[in-house]
Amino acid sequence: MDFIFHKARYQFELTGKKARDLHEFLAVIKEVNESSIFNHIYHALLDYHLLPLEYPNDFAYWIADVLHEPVLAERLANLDLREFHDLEMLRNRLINIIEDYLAMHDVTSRAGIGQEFHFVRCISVVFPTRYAVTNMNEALDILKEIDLDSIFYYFVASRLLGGGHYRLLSQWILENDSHELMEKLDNLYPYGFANMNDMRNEIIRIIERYFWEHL
Amino acid sequence: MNEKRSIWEYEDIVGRGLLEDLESLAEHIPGSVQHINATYTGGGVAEILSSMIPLFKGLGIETDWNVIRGDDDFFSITKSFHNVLHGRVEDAVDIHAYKHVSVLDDLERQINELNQRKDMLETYLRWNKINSEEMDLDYDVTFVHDPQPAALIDAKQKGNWIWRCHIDVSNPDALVWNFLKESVSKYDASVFSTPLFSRPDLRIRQFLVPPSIDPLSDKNIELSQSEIGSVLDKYEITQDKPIITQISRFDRLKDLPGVIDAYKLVKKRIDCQLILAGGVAADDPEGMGVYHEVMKKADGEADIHVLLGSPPFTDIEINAFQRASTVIMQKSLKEGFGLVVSEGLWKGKPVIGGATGGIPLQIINGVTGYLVHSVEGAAFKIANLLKDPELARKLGENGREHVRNNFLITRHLKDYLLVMLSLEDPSGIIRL
Repeated sequence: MDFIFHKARYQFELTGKKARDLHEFLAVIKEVNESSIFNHIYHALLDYHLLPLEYPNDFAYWIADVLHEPVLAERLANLDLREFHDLEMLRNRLINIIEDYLAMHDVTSRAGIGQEFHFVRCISVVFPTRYAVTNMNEALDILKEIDLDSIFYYFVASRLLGGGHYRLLSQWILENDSHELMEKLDNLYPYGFANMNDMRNEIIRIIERYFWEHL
Repeated sequence: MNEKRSIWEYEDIVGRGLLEDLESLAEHIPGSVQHINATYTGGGVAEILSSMIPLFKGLGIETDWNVIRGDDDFFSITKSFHNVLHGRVEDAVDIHAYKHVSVLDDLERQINELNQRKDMLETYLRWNKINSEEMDLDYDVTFVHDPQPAALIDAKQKGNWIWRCHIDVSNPDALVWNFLKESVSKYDASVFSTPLFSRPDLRIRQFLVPPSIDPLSDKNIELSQSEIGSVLDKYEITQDKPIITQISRFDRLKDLPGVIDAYKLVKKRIDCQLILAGGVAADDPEGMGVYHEVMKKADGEADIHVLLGSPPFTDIEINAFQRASTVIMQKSLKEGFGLVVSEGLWKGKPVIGGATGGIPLQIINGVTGYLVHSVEGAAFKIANLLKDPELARKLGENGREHVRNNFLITRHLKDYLLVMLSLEDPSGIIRL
């Protein structure tokens, strides 16, 4: 059966929620739409074209740059994203880190006008690419050349935000009798990669090794 | 404007992936699209639409661009709206006159001023109504740009209407904003360039779409050394020493005296020259005054080229000034999006700018240029870049990539397609 690769493009929309200090920030984190948490934590993975920034997500950057709380920023920057299989788990971890910090520190700094944190959600528009494959060898070739938005969509966005295509990919690989391979790809959860190119390379390495071991 | 332009003319600049996506997304755009604004020429909105509309058509989307008409009173009122929405309250004394009336003022004066204000708002609404009766508004998606045509929404017949706000309305005059909000609230969605420019009291959906530059326009297209040289010759500028350039209107908020002060500090240590090139806005009574102040501050120094574009510089001339530069400045005290920063970065030049408006989105401090807060800070960074060409080259290279990924017309086009598709389904995941 043919497998058609999909991808997503993202449109950003204001949630109308913003924070001027850490208490307001925490309150919004507790209630904001999941896609806003996703956007502020993960979108930097697609910014592969720039030099590595000091903080890998928007939350850490704002807390360091505007609230001048580098210790908390470092804790948020060093989230081990392997732990989180869904965005609610991630949200709860963010809440715990901030509440623990507030319990130990008297944080009074407040953002100036124009420096507030605006919570932005992303809308995923998912569509098929021109890439279709019939077996795992072809899939491996496509994974080497398909653009990084597709890799991001399958292995990050569709697993966390929904969209169903990672599940379809899993089913297709399983139908190709590659249960063990799928387990290895599943274990890519964390997204402990500096950028999507590194993640693509790891996916290719896993598949090539699997092929070699099963010659 | 009937011409089409193929997106594939941009392939060498942005690659195949984005262009294939544009084609995929365009296939799902429901029906016809109209853009409405106040002018076909002059200003950033017209510049973007001039590039954008042919690309919409090239994607096979039935698209029209129409402008509203009005008399001098109407455009004078909408200019005043623009200024007070943008925070330039001093430019709108007529609109505010009624607010300054003391209870001790005579009743007749109060009545006159209130009537004057009422007349202005009625003039605005009357011209919008005239336009709505004359224009074909029967489109599936209608983008209305900025405040001038915003009240056309009252004549909405069908489809989705999107108010595209290009200006900063985060700190507006309350009177004018509340009046405008009555119209804007009737739209299906709004689009702002950055969260910083948006409104917390607007209850319709607010999408984010930064503006863009067209890399194939005369202002940004590659130029040969001889083309650059001939422009410099025309303005008697030599290329024997590094050039620092700021392209901006002669406007106090552009801090041209600050740029000259920074240049003079640098000049004590490094031989260089300065170009300050720009025009005077026709509706800015202060512009010529600022120009004369800048001339006085330049004090006839041979290496300071204060160039008043009259007639306005051509886009090719602006392009040549930027490409001839070693460092580009945009040391604004207050700024809108400041797209001239992206123009400089696209030409591979490091840009030093003030941390205001949309400039920090374009200048990533230490990566694509430097954000500065003082004359001394600007001088220090200029000197660093002049002394270290490799650093300047690296920042310029980063800047070009930053613009390639974030501020080109093709990304802007993609965002408009995504906004239209996003309106079809509020769930957050749209499957095509």
